[in-house]
Amino acid sequence: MLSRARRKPKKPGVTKEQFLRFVPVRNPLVKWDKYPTGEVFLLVPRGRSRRWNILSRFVNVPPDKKVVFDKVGSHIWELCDGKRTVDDIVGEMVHSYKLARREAEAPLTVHLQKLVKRGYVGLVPKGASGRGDLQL
Amino acid sequence: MGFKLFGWQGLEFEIPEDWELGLEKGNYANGFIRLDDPMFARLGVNWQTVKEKKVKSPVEFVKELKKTLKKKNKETRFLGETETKVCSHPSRYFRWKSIGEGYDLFWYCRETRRAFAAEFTFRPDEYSQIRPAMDRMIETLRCHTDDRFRNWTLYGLNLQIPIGFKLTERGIYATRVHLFFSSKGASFMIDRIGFGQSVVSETYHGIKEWFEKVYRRELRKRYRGIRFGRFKMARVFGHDALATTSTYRRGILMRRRTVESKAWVCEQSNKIYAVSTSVAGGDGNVNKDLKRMVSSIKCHEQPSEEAVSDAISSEEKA
Repeated sequence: MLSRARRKPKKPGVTKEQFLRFVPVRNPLVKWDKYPTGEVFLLVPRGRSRRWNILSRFVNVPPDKKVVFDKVGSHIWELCDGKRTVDDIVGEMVHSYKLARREAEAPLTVHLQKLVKRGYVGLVPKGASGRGDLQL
Repeated sequence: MGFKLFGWQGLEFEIPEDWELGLEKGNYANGFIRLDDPMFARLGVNWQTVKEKKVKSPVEFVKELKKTLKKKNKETRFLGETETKVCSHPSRYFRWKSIGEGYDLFWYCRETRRAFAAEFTFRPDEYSQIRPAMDRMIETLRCHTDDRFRNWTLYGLNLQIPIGFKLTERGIYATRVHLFFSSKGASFMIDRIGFGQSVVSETYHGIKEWFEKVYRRELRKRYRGIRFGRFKMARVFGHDALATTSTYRRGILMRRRTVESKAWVCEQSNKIYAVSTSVAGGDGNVNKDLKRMVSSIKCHEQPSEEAVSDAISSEEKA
């Protein structure tokens, strides 16, 4: 009985078709720019926790966290412009990196999931307007 | 609609260009493959080795399958049953309709002693698209062949593998394909890695470093006690390749066997290819087969005759 009570309810899943039709939108609070080499870096504002407040009294903690993507990650970030769907990005990757569709889909899905989990990107259904982003 | 050849575990047919292998299980005797289009799963094929005496007739099989489908979903309706021939074998298929729609097809291949059941699935509005594709697949399907070589295809990689070779190990990852075929005294291993130029230029400093840090580890796993030889340069399909001849021992009293490895970056397809072959003794026929297997790899579109002969001879430079 106890184990039943503890069982978590299943989260509603997203079908592949639905996922491919989502539009990745960059978080407007995340600032970004490119190095001359073409690699994108993000400046993610740090959450002002109690620990951060105490630590910042003694150590110079920068207000933003810097995240640097490699070339493929940078390309994906640039493609997440709020206009392209996941499906469009897959198509771009297939074309740019000469991959089979399935080969592009899997790493892109994993990468986007990471970006969503960290809050750098949000997925919105096609047609819903995504807010613009801040570029340095 | 364009079509391409698909081949896996002795089953060959033409599929629409945007379909890819979505799932595969089992081996030559018993197994399953699923082919997907960019959005949905489209075709599932199941096969099982059955003795000819024990195999059910297509009529019996279809009857049982209908019962099972009806049990699963009472609202399933059947829209007709037709006889056809698949690769000269008597076959039967029927159309069903519940939430989606589909065709189920059954046939038995006497030559390979395998019973096949295939299921095409589609939405009601897709019938006009799927039906011609399905007809083409059934028309071109080959479950047995008189050729000594079988086609194996995976995400644009096409290989011709002799019948005696079995797929003993495979890894199908996001951007990496690893296939290991072996027969009694020989083996053929191929690795194809996507984002080739990025890997070679950003992660590693050239193909040599990639070979030493990544591919050597793979070889060590497959060939225990392998001793690596010196690197040489070779030409493969018009690319500069890194070649090495290594040796390994299978048992204490056994003679050492040689493993020939080649790795190259194909700029046209942006992929790293690494191929290793090993053969016991100097079996001329097996060596020829291995050369044909290597030459069947088309790392980029339409390699010229010269490039193919290049691959076969692979003239090594010091």
